[in-house]
Amino acid sequence: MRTLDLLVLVAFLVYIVWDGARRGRNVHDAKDYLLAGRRMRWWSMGLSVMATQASAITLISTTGQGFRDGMKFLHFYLAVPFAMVVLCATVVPWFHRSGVFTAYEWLERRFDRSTRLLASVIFLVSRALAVGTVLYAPSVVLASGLGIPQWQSITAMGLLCTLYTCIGGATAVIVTDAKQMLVMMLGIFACIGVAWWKLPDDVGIGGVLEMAGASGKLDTFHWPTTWREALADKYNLLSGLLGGFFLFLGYFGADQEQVQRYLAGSSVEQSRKSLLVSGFAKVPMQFVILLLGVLVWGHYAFRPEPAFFRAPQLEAMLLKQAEHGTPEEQAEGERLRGELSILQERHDALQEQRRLAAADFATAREGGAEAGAAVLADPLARLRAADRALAALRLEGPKLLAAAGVSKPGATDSDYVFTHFLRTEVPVGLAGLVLAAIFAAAMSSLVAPLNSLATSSVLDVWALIRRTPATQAEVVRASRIATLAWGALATIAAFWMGDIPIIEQVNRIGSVVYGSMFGVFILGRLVPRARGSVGAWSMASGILVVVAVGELSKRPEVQRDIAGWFGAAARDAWVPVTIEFMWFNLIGFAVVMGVGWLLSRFSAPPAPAAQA
Amino acid sequence: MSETNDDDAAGEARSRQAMARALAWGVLTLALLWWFARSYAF
Repeated sequence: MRTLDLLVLVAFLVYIVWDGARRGRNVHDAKDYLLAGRRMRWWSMGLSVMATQASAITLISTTGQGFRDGMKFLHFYLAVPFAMVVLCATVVPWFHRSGVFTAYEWLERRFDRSTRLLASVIFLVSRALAVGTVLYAPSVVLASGLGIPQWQSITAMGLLCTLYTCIGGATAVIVTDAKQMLVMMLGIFACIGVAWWKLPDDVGIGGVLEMAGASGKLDTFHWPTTWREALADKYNLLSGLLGGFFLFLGYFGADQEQVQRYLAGSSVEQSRKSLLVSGFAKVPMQFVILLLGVLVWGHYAFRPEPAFFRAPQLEAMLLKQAEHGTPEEQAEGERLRGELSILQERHDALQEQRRLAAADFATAREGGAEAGAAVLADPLARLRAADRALAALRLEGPKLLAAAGVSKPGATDSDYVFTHFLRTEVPVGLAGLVLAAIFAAAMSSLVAPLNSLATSSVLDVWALIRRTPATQAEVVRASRIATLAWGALATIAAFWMGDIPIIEQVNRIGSVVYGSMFGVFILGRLVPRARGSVGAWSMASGILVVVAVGELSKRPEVQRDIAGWFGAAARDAWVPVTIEFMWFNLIGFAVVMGVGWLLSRFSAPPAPAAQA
Repeated sequence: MSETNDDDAAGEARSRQAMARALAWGVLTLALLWWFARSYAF
């Protein structure tokens, strides 16, 4: 790593830890430590909400998705503005006016303690599973980009984040998140500037967009043609606007990680406005990040790229094996080196075809041809064909990595595009800023779950099982100890994270529970007769059905057996069907509402005072 | 007390205005993305 980059990065890390830790001076009671004294303004909470959601995964993996698949991932976020408005009209005033510290406390007031405990345990387990992934992501940058072993980066990141969250509490989280979000945006725009600047003069950003459009990478508005496609394809208008709508309702409305950010607002208006920041800025931000991936793709259409972006790592590993391995390992290494060499040759031939097509396109464009002109059609068609062949060939890389034991089967190469670009193309000093942006993203999305995991485990579990009420000082002390414990657990979990497509993994874990968790809040408001343990039973039913649907979706033979009960016609017409995780949120929500309404029919009508 | 209620009412009105703008922005975003995808379709 270059000295100037290292200096920029270290200065940023030291400032963030100092800035977070000094907020501990203002902690006098539980409200100060857990809800920042309810003094926060909308813009700092709004940036914190965005920073919490935008992790290092967002920067690293989303640019990779832009490079590989183009901008279709944007469908995922299309429902954010609509979900935010619904939350502003519902849970934000409910939580704020009831004065709760956690979303699940509201459930105890409306239903019973079992509902609160179930929701908080689901949150604790699902968030604990995800927090390891969030910490693992930046280690990708360090291991791949800086030559530092992953265990060192995981340990350093885990320690720093735990330290300032433990000392400064929610104020530290929100204040540093806001600054980290600004650094993150600065880093993204710096990378876009570099990618743009490095494009050939006769192409420019307009030319790259035409090339990307011709290669099918700019499909930001895809309406599915069949219901099967709508269910099986993650990124289309229906799954984004319907499935994504319930995903974001659940994530921002029932996940304590986000609820705790806007509960720190000084009024309902401040809390509402903080959520609307994401409503306005989330889609444009994701557009810009995906556009960066597309620009990087355009950059490599004119310049050499490795057969796959972890090839240098594989080469280093094979070299080490050749020097120090057993005879069997050396023989296997020799075989893999041969395969790598063949793969690189096939890749280089295809890349040359793509480069020639791109160069022909640039020449025709410089000659005055405008978008859509016939003279551009031939180079664009050749470009698209070569690009598709390259994309198919790039799948071979992870297989070699898996055979060499470098990564697990099923790993994607696209998560490493951004780090390769950063290492090889971004100028010194600016690379330090971009690294700081990646660390900002990683830290902001780690400290919020640490803070909320500590809050929920102390208030929703520890305080409930105590025989005597806890004092303010005891709650603060217990929350600090819980922050330390969750930080240690996150660090250990990060060591066990697989080499899997990381952004989808995080969303997948959430989608199993979010719809059901949000459903029980709406059930509590819309169905007055649903009381007591009806909340817990409805939520459990929703999650169980989602798990069953997820498993069934992966097993066509079981689907055929079940559909066979309704006759051959039904079997042929309806199965096999694949349901992507985006839809799990809607399914969970619908089941909770249905089961909750049914169970409430067996309950006595509520006394007026019992209604929330 | 009445001052607090006035503040609440004014805050509620401002919130509703911001929510209406966010809804309009969501619809506008969809329209812009449709235009973007259509402009660069092959």
